[in-house]
Parts: sequence; C-alpha cells; structure tokens
Amino acid sequence: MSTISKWMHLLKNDIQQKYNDAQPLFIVHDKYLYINEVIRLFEKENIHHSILYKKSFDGYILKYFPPSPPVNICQNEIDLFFHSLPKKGPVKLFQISTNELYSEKEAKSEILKIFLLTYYTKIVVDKTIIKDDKNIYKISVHEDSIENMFERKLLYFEYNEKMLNNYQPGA
Amino acid sequence: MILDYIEIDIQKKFNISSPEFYLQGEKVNRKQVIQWIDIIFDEDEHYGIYRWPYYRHIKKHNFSLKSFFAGPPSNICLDMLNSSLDSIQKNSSSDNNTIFKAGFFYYTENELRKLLFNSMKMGYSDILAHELPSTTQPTIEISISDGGCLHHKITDGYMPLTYKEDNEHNI
Repeated sequence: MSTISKWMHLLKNDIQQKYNDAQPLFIVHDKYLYINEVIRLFEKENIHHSILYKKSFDGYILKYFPPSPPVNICQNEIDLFFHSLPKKGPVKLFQISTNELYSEKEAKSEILKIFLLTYYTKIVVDKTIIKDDKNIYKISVHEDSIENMFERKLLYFEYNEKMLNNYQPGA
Repeated sequence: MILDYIEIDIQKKFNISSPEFYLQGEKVNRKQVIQWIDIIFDEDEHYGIYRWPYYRHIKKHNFSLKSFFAGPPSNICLDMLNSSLDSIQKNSSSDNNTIFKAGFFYYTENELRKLLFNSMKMGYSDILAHELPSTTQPTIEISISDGGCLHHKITDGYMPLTYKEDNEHNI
C-alpha cells in the first residue's frame, strides 16, 4: 500500500468519526472523486501526504501543504528520548549524521528541526563511544510509519469548515 | 566569498581582525576553512530530502566552526514573503479574486502565505511568479526554490551568522 493510500484511508476514517460520513466525496480542482480515484490521481502526481482538508458544501477540498507536526508534541518526544539516556557518567555529546559534536541542548534543537522539516521522527542511537572522558552518542533520525505518526499525534488532519462560496478552481 | 563575510562580521562584533579557526578541535588554515564551507553549502545528502543551507556557529576567541540545519528567523521569512507578494501583485493584473497555482494545487492568498512561509522556514527562499492565461479569474503560478545567492541570504538576514560565547563542554 502506498503512502498516499495509507494517508487517505486514515483521512477517510477520521472523516467518518468527525462527520459521520462513510462515503466522502473529495474535490481536487473541480472534480469530485471517491477515495480510490484520489489515490490513483495522487500516486500519478507523486503526492504523498500533507493535505489540508476544507469541508465545502458537498465534499472535502484537498490541498497540499508541507508537513508541520505540532511543535509541542515533537519537543515532548525529544525530551523523553534524552530523559531515557543514563543520567550519571561522563559528559554527553552527540553526533547527528556528520562528525560534528553537539551539546545536548544543540542536539535537541537540531533533532527538532529534523522532526519539523523532514517528518523523520524516529530517533535511533547507532553507537556510543567513550573518548577523552566524554560519552559520544552517534544518533540518526528515521522515518516512522504513517500509522505510528498518527498514533503519536505527530500527524493530524486539518479541516477548515468555512463554506467556500466563491471557490472556483483554476480554469 | 562566505569566509569574507564571516571575517567582516567577526571584526564588527568582536573587534578581532585576524581570527583563527578550529574544526573539531584542530586549528585550520584559510584554505581548509573554505573547503569546509564549500562542503557544508554543497552538501544535500543529510536526510536526503531537502537541500539544506547550513549555519555556522562560531565561538569567541579562537573561533570554532560548526554547521547547523536551516532555521531562518521567522520575522525575516515574513518580511521576505510580504515583499515578494507585494512585488508580485504590483507587477500583475491580480485583484481580490486572484488564485495562486503552486505545483498541482490552487490556493487562496492566505493559503499561499502558509505554504510559502513553511517552505521558507525549510531553507527555500527564492519565490518566482508568472501570470497564467485564464478566462475566469486572475491566476498566478508560483514556484519556490533554494537557488538564491548565499551572499544575499547572509546580508538579508535570512541566513544569520550565529555565535555562541560560552565554552560549552569544550566542544
């Protein structure tokens, strides 16, 4: 199942819960499409995720926006990861993909940027090295599944229920 | 040359005319600094999705060079966004009914602002626009890229040279 397919099915379930609408019609440009037609179209256009959903009179208008996971949830998850590291022992330094060394504060800020800008949200410690009385953590950040992201509330659907009287798709 | 900007900035901020640079604790000459800067700005493989402009982080007294992911200041992004949209609207026959096409989708001006602001925070700063022929309503096609001149990015404040004056863990 493609990413957009997973994404659209999560959206369909969300719409069913929120609006009690089991067969939502989606609007892309001026066309009314059922979920499978949207998936086919978006797969063709290479659109994976991050779509704002505007409920119009009779359907849900789909538009692409860059990912923007909630900052506070990202920060909480990053804090939890750092809390899980041993409290005692040598000073901790961090490497994230390059050889450069970051303090804990800097590493938190860099990982937050990765979360917010790339949608990669799974932190993995690849290696730890003790060097010159410092504990160096080699870290990488990976993509999580759409379902997990949704569970973790890093992914959500945004609705704008304003009726778009003047909405006229591109000619 | 980026190094010239760094040196001018150091002179202005710290009144040091011949700064010495360190990478990972090792003293480096000008040629090595230039090589490092070239690698940083040409590198686009980290996390494989976006081309990242990096920021330098330089410590006072023997300046230690460090790179960071893109993180342009929000107020600068907003200023650049407003001036770009003003200029687009001045140079086109747009009115309140104008819609904007970006990629596959159509946006209102407010939606476009959200889309472009998020893209600018990711490091994309060059907004291009042209009018599309339309029989129904004015339509402007927008694209955004990271192809901007680094010198302008620095002088515009989009890519600030940042300093850290405490000697955190002797990194």
